Amino acid sequence: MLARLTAVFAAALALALAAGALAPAGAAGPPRVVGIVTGEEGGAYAEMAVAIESGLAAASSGLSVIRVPVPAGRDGALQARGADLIVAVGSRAARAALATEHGLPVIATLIPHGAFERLVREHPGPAAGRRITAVFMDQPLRRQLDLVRRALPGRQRIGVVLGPDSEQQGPMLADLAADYGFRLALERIRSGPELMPALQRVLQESDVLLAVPDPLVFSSETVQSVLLTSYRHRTPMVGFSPSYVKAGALLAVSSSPGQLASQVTEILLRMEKGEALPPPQYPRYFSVHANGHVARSLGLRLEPEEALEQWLKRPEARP
Amino acid sequence: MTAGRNGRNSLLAAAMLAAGPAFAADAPPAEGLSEQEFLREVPVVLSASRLRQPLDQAPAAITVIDREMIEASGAREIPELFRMVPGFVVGHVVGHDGVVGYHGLTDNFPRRIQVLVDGRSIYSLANIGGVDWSALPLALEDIDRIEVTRGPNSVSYGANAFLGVVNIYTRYPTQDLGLQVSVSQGEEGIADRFIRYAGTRDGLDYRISLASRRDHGFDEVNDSQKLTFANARAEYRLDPKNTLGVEAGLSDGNQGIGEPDNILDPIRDSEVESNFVQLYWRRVLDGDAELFVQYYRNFDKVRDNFSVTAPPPFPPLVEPINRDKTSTRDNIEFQHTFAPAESLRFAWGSEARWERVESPGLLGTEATQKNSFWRVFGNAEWRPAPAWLVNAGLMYEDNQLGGSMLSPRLALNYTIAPGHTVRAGVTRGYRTPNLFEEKADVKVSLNGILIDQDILARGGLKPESILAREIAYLGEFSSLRMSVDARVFRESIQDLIGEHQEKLPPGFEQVFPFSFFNDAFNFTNNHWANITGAELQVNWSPFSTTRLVLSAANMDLDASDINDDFFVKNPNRPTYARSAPRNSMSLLAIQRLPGRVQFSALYSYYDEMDWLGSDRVPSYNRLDLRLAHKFKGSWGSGEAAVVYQNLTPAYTDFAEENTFDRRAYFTLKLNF
Repeated sequence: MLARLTAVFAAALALALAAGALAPAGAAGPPRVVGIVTGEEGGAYAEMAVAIESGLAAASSGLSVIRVPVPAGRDGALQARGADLIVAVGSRAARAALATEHGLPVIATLIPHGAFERLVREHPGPAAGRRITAVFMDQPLRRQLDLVRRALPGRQRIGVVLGPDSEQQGPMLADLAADYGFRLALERIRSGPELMPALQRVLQESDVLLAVPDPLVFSSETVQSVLLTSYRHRTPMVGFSPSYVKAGALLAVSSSPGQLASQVTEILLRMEKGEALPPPQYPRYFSVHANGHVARSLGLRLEPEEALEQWLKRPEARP
Repeated sequence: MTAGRNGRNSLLAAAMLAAGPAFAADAPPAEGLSEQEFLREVPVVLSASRLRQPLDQAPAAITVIDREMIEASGAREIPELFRMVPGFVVGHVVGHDGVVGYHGLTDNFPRRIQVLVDGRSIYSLANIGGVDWSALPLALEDIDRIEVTRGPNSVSYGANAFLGVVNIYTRYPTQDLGLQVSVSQGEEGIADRFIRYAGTRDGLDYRISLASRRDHGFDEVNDSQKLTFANARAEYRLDPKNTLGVEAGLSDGNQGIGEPDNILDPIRDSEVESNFVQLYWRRVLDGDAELFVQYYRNFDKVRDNFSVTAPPPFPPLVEPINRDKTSTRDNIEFQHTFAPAESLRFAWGSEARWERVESPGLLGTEATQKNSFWRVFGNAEWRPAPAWLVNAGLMYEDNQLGGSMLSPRLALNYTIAPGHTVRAGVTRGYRTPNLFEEKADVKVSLNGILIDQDILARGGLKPESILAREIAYLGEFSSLRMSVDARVFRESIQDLIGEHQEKLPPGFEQVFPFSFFNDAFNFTNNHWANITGAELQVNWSPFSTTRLVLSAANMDLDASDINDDFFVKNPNRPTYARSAPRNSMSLLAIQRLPGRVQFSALYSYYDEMDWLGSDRVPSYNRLDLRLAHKFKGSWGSGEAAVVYQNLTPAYTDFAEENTFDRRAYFTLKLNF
């Protein structure tokens, strides 16, 4: 009898737990279990997942972390059982999180602003009540222009080549450049063969090339031509990742997976304390990278990376 | 920039283009913008070995003539550009034969400056040494910039980088995509044409230019020129690490030569021909290292066959004279650049060359004359402390002409404060005797009878050697937008090769009156020269629309006398000691005006000087002006320009009969 009772109790408990886990999160209080979905194996994705986990542990948070596998196939459903908040690392994870009707709040990260907005447009889903935010991996344009103004005083002609995936940034760039008193030389391209002629036109009218990520403009296949052509014009390029600085860009401001993880962790800790899901945001932590060889070769004297970083982090520069 | 090699090949192969699918496999299928753009590792493009060394870290004085200066100067031909380099003189033996000298000792065949185009030496053995600019298949439009090393640089470029080195870098195809057409027309028969197409596809960047240059030269001289030439450059990126490049060119033309009343040098046309092909392979190695391998072949030919008829009282015999010259050069080289530590860069390599020359008129034989050499070199750039930079290098060369030579260099650059650097350097360089100095046999015979033996080289010459010391200051005043490069130098030349009249050996009996003296010129190492001086270069943009480039030099040349020709005691005969102007300067001013108009002026001044083997020319001024208007349309863009050369009074150029008058030409350039 006792055994029977115990079994019933256990079953009831299990049912209750399962029901709790499956209940719409909107009805739930602060999150207790964070499901991390990584879009790809290893690399920056794994680094982020580990950093969030250890960040929570270091803060003695009561949040526990489970790994949610990314569904196979383009529009596979996310099996988020057990989690009551999803952290989606990378575009593929974000797409899965948006495509699935799990009703959980989602923090997308390691994703560029443009890619995030496109996903949101493509997956209107159950628009009402959906709670989604992001910690973008790209830097606000203002921060990049700030860097140009500080690191390269006197260079006021900014060259930009935009492709299909970045052209929506054109108007914003134009507004900001006007704010900063920069002259903007802007070209838009629609296909690969247009790149070099457009770059040439831009370089003729600019004294710094600002790289805005777009797979048509900046890829492993184009980086050599772009960097060498701008170097021949003695026009430094401001890139968007440390890898580009290593390759020959003069400067970049960027956030590492660890830095993005810190920001996500902070959001999670605040939510644990009952705060609401914050709006999508740019990285709060970032580093400045400079290529000393390129600077010397172009006859440029740069402030140390840390000094530029400090300047970009001054309170009035916060987005 | 390679450690110590002053940009040798630094950008000649520089670009690689979008091609290989090699990296595509690393990324997930592209679906617009993703985090992959940020996370992707991209290959190192501007490796330390490829970057140009900034001027304040170079081990020698370098003047850069950039594209803007080339255009603003109003020059039509390459030699004229060197007016903008401190200490350089430019002359014209005849209208089509520009000569470029530095620190004196300059005659019709300046042979103490090495010249390379994209790393290919065009310093020739075929003439009396030096560079024949007139047949070079290269248009000014295809030149991106010229770097001039002032001072010896045998440590990087081997023998004959003696008083200076000129590195010409051509435009990379992607700098000028599309079609460009240019037409120049002007006084003195100036009629230049240029058409170029540059494109890029599937990892191949290419350009091809066709051009022609025509003018009548000086008024009183038979020196008109017609040259047609083509030049092409292509680079193909095999994969992110390997690039193959090819350059080729050819030219063909006619040049007026000869004098009206000289029966041995009558008025006639000579035919010139030149071609080259250059192949290279560049491989990026791990750890900021690079391997560069190159082969090239130059071929140059002058066809100058004529006959002279003996004047009375001789019987009217007709003697054919063959002044044809051909030379062929094959050159292979490799260079390995690497950075074993953050503060240390190293470049080493080797080069070998084979040359064949046929010049019966100058060398007295139909047989092919040959020369070859091999070299090995190493240059290190070491930064022991942030403010200190040490450049040390050594070149060993074994040359059939001149034997073995060891050229070292040591230079210290000390940064006093950011933007202020002092440099002290010492280096040794060599110039090998050329085939003419070693083997010249120039004579006039009639029907097999020796009339006059003009030159008979006895051979056995040693190379000329130079020891150069300098102290320099380089200042960068960013707030004033000004850079200053000043230096003082002392150069001691030993074993300087010069010509002397010497008695002829038996077997060279000449006819009267030549038999009376029975002598001919020979070359010996009996001379020396000491050159001390100061050079200044200032680049200043007082306003964003204005640029000024000043160059100035003061030189004191002390040298043994040039010849002991005992029956010509002309007090005005050229001498080594007066073969450089004591003071010289130039100022280039560029002013951008509203409405896409640009005005530029190039002024230069030279003290009196002697051109060896020619005349003493008085001091002179020259002022050139250029006014250009750029325009744009939906079809493309263009530029119309008018150039006035020498608005100042006419001056004597190289020889008394060469009068450089005012001349004007206009240019229309269209880009589609």
